Parts: sequence; C-alpha cells; structure tokens
Amino acid sequence: MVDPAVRADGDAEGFGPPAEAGSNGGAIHRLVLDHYQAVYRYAFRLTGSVCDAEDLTQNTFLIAQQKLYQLREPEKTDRWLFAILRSCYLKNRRRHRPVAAVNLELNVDELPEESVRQAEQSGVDEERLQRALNELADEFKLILLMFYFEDLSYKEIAARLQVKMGTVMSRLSRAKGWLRKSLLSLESDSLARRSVSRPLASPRAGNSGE
Amino acid sequence: MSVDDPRLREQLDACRPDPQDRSVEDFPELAAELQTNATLRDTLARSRRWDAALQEVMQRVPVPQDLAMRLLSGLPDGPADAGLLNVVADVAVSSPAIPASGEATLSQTRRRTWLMTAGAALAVTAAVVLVLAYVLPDNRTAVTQRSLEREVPRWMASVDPQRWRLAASPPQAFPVSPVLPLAAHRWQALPQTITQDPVVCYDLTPRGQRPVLLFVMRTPRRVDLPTRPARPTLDTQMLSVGVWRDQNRKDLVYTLAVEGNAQRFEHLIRPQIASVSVPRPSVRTQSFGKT
Repeated sequence: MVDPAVRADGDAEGFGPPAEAGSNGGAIHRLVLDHYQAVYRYAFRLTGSVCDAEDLTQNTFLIAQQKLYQLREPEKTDRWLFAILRSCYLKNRRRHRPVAAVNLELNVDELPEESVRQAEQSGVDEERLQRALNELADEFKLILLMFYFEDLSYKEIAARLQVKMGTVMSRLSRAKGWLRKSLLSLESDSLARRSVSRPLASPRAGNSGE
Repeated sequence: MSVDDPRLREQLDACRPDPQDRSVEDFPELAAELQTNATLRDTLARSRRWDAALQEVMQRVPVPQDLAMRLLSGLPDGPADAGLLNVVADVAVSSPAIPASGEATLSQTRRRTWLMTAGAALAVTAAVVLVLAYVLPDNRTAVTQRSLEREVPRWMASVDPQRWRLAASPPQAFPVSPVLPLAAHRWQALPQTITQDPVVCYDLTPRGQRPVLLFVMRTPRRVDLPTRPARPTLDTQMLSVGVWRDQNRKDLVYTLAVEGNAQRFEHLIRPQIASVSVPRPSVRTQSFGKT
C-alpha cells in the first residue's frame, strides 16, 4: 500500500527542489512543538506501544526535517506529517504471513442502542480498543485510523493510499465490524485467543471489493 | 431490522460520523432506501453516534510529558529555539488525564514534567531555607550542599529555551566536570540577576532520555563540598541533585540536576566502559563534547 503523499523514503510527489533545505532549524522546532502530540497519538494507535510510538514519532520528525521544503500547504501540515508517519510505519513494520480471515465481525445493523448510549456517556474500554487495533492487519488498521483519527472520507482514503474505493469500503466495513465485535462482545478476548490466526490478518484472504 | 445486502452495510460503514457528511449522496441505492426506511435511518444514526464516540476515544492518548524535549534533542539541529518550559506547560495543560492503557499509565507516572519537579523541589528547598535561616545562619555566606540545592529550582526556572547555544564552543572558564561520563549538547549562561555568582548551565540529556542539567558556578566564596558526586544529596524521587567541586580548582562548583530518582542519578554518573567524551556517531545528536 503506497501513500502518494509521501513515498517510502518520505518524498512527496510533485514538489520542487530542496531550495530551503538546511535552513529550517527554527521551522522544524515549531513543527515539532505544534504537532508532536497529534503525531504521537496517531503513532500510539498504530503501534500500540509507548516505546514504538516514540520511535515512530521521532522518525517522522527526522524525515519531516529533511523534507520540510516539500511542505507547501502549512494548513495541511498535520496531514503531511501523518502521511510521513504512515510511510515510516509501513517501512519498518514486521511482516506477517497472510492467513485466512476469521469471521468475527459485528455488522453495523447489529449495533445495540444500549451500547451506543453507553459509549456516548462513559466512553469505551480503551485497553480493549487498543488490543483490537493491535490485532488488526496493517491494511485494515491504516484505513480505520485514517477514517477515525484523520476523519477522512473513504474517497480521500482511497486517493491517499492509491487503492480502489471499493477496496477501502470493504476493508473499512470489515475493520469497523471487528472493532464493534471486539468492544461489545464480552467474549471477544477468548474468541480472539481461540482463533489460531489474527482476524482480518490479510486483505488478500477473504476480502471483497478489490 | 437486519441489513441483508453486504453492499448496503459497506455503504453505511463508509459514512463518516459527522451528520453533515455527504457520503450518502455517493450511494444512490442507500439514499433511496433511507428515504423510505425509518429503521435504516436509525441504523445510520446509531452507527454515526457510535463512530463519533470511537473517534473521540481514539484521540485520547496521553502524551509523555517530556516528549517534546526529547524529540527536539534528537533532531540533528539540536534542541529548541522555542520554549521547552512552554512546551512542558502546554503538555501539562493539554494532555488528557485518562490514560489509554496500562503501559501508558506507567509511562505517564514515570515521566514527570520539569515544572512539577521544580515545584516539588521548590517546596522542599523552601523548607530547607527556613531551617537554614534559623539554625545555620553562618552557612549562608559559604557555598554548601544545602545552599546549592536551594538554588536549583530557581536556576532551572531561569533556563531560557531561547538562549541555548548550539554548535558553539563552551565557555572555557566554566568547563563540564571531568568526572562526568556525559557529553554536553548545548549550554547557556544564566542571568546574573538571579545568581549570586556566575553560572553556566549545560544540557547533558542523553538521547531519548529524561533531562539532565549541569550547573557550573565560579565563586570566590568558601566552598564546603566533596570533589566527586558519589550520590545525590537531594532526592525527591522526581528530581535528584548532586553537588561537588572541582578537584583542582576550588572555585569551580558543579550542581547536577537529574530528572528521576537517586538510582538514575547514580547510573548516569557511573563511568562508562565506552569513551566518555567522544560523541556517538549518530545523526540525531550533535555534541561538542567536554572541555
């Protein structure tokens, strides 16, 4: 999965030469101070670990410093940093072998009103949320975080990841279904442990819409 | 009512939490069904409420309170031209109180801000000041362990993030103590308005770790201090302070402030097996070593 905003080495498309590279000390410091919290939070949700999130945040800003000349729309700085972050994450992630997906999803129409009300009033179990995210394959997790964390539409996600809109919709729906199931089912932990493979471990297995 | 058509479910899930989101217009089939089907409208509304709750929780991740300082220290250009103390204050205000996980909770507990540390240390040292004022009045003129500990909170508060000197020669008259196995990244002279004698502050924070500051003072006053920082003389668990004087120059006084407990202090000052003054070959850290 490629993010067209930032390639694997952090290069953005369609931007000019590094005319101002090397003279960006103050700018990068401002960038860190303004955005490190959002970047760290995103990194934590992606990695599920404080240490990994800090490393990912550090790498993101190191690349941002090198590529600062590529930033032409300051109002979209956070999106630019998130794209770098995703790129760093994908570059360094551990590879998992594709395995068959397990149907452990709760459909959108099965969402109980009582659970929704409870989530609105007292939130959801954050540890369980992070566990559920950790168990998702990256291809699902990235789309889910782009939807929830960046508040992107399925079209924007498809454009940024350069995948078909149908693929995004399918993965998004399945990932949301997994999240609903994980958060609402009292037995989700044991179910997850019982399954030999990670749920939604690979978009190549049992995935539609591509 | 169950939504039997998987395409319809995917379309519902593609709708964003914001009720103003226009994604529904992309799906004529869903839009038409929503016109006539009240249950489906309820399903969409419920899904959006659920998504909005999740969206809010997703953002609720506590940020380590010294992260900004460590990030800035890790950049090749060195630390900030913008306020570290302000950063700490910003984080203290904006970080959510509810932790995301047990791991994060532990981290948050471990990583106190300098401001909190300074506040706690200030309270401790204020008590010390009162005791000294009544019990040991003669010691006020000499440089002692207690007089230096009393100064630390004021010195820390007066460190100006705008005034760090990067990639410049450190002042020869205020060298980093040779007994420390730590390299300095940057330095600044403290305003003389707040110090009785001239003081230079060095940032010795190892990459990716909690802050370590060394204050070097030159004084004509009598100095009653050991020549090595064997162990911290002040340990609040959040801040450890050790004081000593130079072995050869009695007018050179060192005060090391370490965020953390005595164990971290002792670990930091323990001589390293590797070279102590050659900066590590890392692109992340610039160091001018010790003088």
